[in-house]
Amino acid sequence: MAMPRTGGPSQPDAVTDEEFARFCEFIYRRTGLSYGASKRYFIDRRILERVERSGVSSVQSYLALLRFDSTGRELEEIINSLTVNETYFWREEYQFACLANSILPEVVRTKRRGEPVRIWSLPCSTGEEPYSIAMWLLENWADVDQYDVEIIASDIDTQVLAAARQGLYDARSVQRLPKWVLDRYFERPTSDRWRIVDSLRSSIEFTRINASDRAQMAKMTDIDVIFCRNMLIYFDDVSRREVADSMYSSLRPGGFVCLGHSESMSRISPLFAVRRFADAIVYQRPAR
Amino acid sequence: MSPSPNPITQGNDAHIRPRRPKRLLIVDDAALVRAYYRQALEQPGGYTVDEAFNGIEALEKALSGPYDLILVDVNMPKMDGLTFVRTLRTTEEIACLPVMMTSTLNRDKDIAAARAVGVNLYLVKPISVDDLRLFAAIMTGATEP
Amino acid sequence: MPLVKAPSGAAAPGGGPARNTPNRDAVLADLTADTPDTRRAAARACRAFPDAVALIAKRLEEEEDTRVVEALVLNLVAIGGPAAAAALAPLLRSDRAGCRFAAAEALADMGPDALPFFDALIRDSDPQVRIMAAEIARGRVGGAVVQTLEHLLGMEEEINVCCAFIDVLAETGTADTAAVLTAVLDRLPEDQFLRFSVETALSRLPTD
Ligand SMILES: C[S@@+](CC[C@H](N)C(=O)[O-])C[C@H]1O[C@@H](n2cnc3c(N)ncnc32)[C@H](O)[C@@H]1O
Repeated sequence: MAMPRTGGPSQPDAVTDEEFARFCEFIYRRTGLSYGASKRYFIDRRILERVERSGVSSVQSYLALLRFDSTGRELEEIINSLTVNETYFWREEYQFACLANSILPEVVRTKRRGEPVRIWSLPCSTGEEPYSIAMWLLENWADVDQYDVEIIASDIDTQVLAAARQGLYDARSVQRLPKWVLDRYFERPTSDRWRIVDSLRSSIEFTRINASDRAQMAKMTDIDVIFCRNMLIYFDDVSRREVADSMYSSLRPGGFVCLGHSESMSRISPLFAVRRFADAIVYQRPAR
Repeated sequence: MSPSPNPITQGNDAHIRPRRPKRLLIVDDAALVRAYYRQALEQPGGYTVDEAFNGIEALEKALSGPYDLILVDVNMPKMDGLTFVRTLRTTEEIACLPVMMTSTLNRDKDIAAARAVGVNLYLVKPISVDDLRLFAAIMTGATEP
Repeated sequence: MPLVKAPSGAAAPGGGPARNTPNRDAVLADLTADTPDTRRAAARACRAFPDAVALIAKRLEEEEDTRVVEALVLNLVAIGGPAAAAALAPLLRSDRAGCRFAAAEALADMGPDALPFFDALIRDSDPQVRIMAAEIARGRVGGAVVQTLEHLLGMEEEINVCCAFIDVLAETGTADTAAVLTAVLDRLPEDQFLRFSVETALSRLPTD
């Protein structure tokens, strides 16, 4: 919009209860992200920021913009500001705790001797997630020495995959890692750079996969746990369902899916059973 | 303090309220239905109310409970109300939760199907505020039927 | 080190090169196999045969296993076109709640191909079908679905159907919707849920 904004009386400074309700309903139906009343302040701030940036005059017009923008750009903007569109080590670490404390103990119960445990990070972006899984298991899973663990990491974007293979990170990425983890698994090529040690880098299989490509997905089989965090929120209804359907087929019976924080399978697919563990809610392909 | 009157015979809906706050889970994909049940039961009824959009979200919430009563619709996306109740009844921690089903479906076979999966009470929509409060009170044991 | 590198390339022991196009007759026969796993595999494979739409739809009517239903529905959405929409439309009358809603969602996801079926179903003589058809209007079928709902709301006698339309309009309506909503209250007998729906929808509609 060409009109200069002066922040005068036309700029809304609050979100009404009705607007909040309408927004949450819309976001849930479109993205599967779900927020309760406890997130009210956070959501209101994000809405008002986007109202100002997009230059519309009211929250109502902003909601109309969101709904009718056929390019999907504004939807992507608001998703980015509701979620953190940046990946980092130990992100949503309660899920790694759940993996080591609850999921893997259940998974290995039905493993035969010598059968590997297969964990898939989809999407892996620049690698923080699969490396986090590896380090967490090495440090926190009591039975880690008794099983072969395969970690596979995939993304559609070859550039992020190249960066992931390199394993070179800045201070922002590693800021949540405890010092002893940094010491054990990273080298310091320069003072503001951290690089994953070779032995860890070379133990993870990086491979390009488009999650929406059924043929590519079908080649991934016998997976025990899929981390599918912060990707499906950007997809439309049909694409999300297709990915869930493919993931189901890639999992072995009894295998698990972990979605991102605020993401829920409830808006995506009826295929999985809901499992509540002490650390997190996750989804399971029924064992049969 | 006067002894608490029998809320039913009293006939005054201000008294049809639980003695301690009970937690309800409202499960319906229609935002207006959830809002209606909430306003009927939360403030005047004295219930603590949570909402879910469909059967899957309801299972997630029920597992994170505890709840005293679940109000659930039949027609919902991804997981319908009957499938939800069937799953609930076979999920250890939550198998015994009382369920009140509310639906626009009014044929005998709809009601029989609900009973078969383990629904405790079936009400046909639209439902008045008084009926919602009365049946919620009965179902949560806030009052004797 | 307990971490071992997964086999590269397909990254899966069971992977390997893509299999040849499945045998049509074998796949279609497997759609009625005894084990759900076989039926599901067949349901996924039959996407290769767009002309099998009628058969898929027939299976959808009978199939009880959610995982097979999901694969069948996704096929119809992916195959698309008027034939797939025509196959989905009658399922709104299914006796199984899951099937009804799966069909409505699939039609909502289908885009303009679903529009003629929406226009017919939303005027069906069975109020339960009209209620399910309203769900299609939440999707991206385009056309004048909002105006259609507004127009029909002006004549609808069933309170539950009115409330279903109002729920959709509260989400998708415009400033013009307000007048139609108010008129419903004047026309129909007093009902608490209807009144609440109208008032809440009015407060949620855009005003400009
Ligand atoms: C926000 S990042 C999430 C990274 C990590 N999982 C996390 O939660 O921190 C989203 C990633 O999804 C990837 N992506 C988007 N569409 C994809 C697709 N169709 N298949 C595979 N990856 C995709 C993007 O390249 C990007 O790296």
